[in-house]
Amino acid sequence: MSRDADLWAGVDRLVARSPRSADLRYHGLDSIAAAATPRPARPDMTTRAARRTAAATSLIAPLVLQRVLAAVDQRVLLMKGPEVAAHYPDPLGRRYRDLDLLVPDAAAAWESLVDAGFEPTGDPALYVGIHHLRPLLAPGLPLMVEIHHEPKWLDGRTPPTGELLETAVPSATGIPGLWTLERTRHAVAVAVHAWAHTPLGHLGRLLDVAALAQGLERSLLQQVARSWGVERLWTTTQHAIDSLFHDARRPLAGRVWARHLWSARERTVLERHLQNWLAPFAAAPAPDAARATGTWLLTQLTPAPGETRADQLRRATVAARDAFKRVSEHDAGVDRSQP
Amino acid sequence: MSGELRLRRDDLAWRAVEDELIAIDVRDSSYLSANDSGLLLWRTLAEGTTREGLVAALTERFDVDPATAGADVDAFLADLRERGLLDEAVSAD
Repeated sequence: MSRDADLWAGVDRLVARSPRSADLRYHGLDSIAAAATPRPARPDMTTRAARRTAAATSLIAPLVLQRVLAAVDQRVLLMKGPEVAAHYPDPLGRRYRDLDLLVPDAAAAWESLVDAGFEPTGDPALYVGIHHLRPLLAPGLPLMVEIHHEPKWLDGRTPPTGELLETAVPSATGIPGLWTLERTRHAVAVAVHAWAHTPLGHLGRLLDVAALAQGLERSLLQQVARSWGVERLWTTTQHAIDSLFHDARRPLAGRVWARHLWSARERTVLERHLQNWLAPFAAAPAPDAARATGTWLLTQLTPAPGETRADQLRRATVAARDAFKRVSEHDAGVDRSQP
Repeated sequence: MSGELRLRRDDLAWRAVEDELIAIDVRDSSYLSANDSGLLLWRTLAEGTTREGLVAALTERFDVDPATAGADVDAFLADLRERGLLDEAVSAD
């Protein structure tokens, strides 16, 4: 497996730049920070704890996956998590909390696992109509399994699930009988997944894309993105990766609404608002982006369901006051003020 | 009589994280950890050894006298026996 030494040297430089362990954890880089060179000098328990957790998870994952394969009579594709970790120089640098499995018939696979002793967990209402079914736990092994009928994708767009299933390849984890997404497609799918959560939100997710794309022809990645209608999103992601990890010129997004990535810190309230305004223009043609931004703007200018006009104005005032605070600090303050 | 000692081979998953041991006994889903000296003993047991071999490993690697190392090894082995993690074979010299 080819590894891009420049990529991982760039990651080490970025990790060293982060002054707070909490920011590293926010970006999903706490486990990789423990092994970074140069190692951050500050004393902290966070990165070592993350690494121990990653180690324990790495022991549990194969056990869970073997039980899944024994119970499910379908092709099972592992997405993200340990599959991406296999492309890190040290797999413990990539922590994960669940196993995302794509299968042709999710409902049947889910039932098979329950029959085999897996236990559903979490509020069922949260998993109605989304890309995966209610998570499952194997008894005694605390690592959730999420059975997907499709990958997480952009709102209103259809993911290429059939293509992903048809082009599956053996998993890089080495577990017999386990499959995964073909790597070029996996890299682009992870980029779309990350964007669907939060556009250019977290360094760890961008690193996942970069790790999967190591050694692959850029033209092939571009071709896949184009065939899926996400070429603009992919180009924005690629430019961010080139700048963050390979010291290329910082793109416009990194100078306006995704500045937090280059500082390896959490996003501020203002940056979150700018992201909502401007990110659609970095991922879609202007008319579609304008429509998305307009929809979001409308939600900001009108009271939310159950909210009075006074509540909405109060919310906006607090957000303006907290413009330069980390989002988590702002949200904690809002929670404390709730009756 | 000498006894060969070895870690149980079935249903036991483990790995080293820098200088620490992380292990799972799959039979009862219990989690174990050990510091650097415990990791050394664990690794030596994974390959198969004797009590004397374990004592020697500790004294060679750490600044500890044989008597102390012997006591530490005995305590470690007792813990492993209690958890059912050892395979032990006794052979005539």
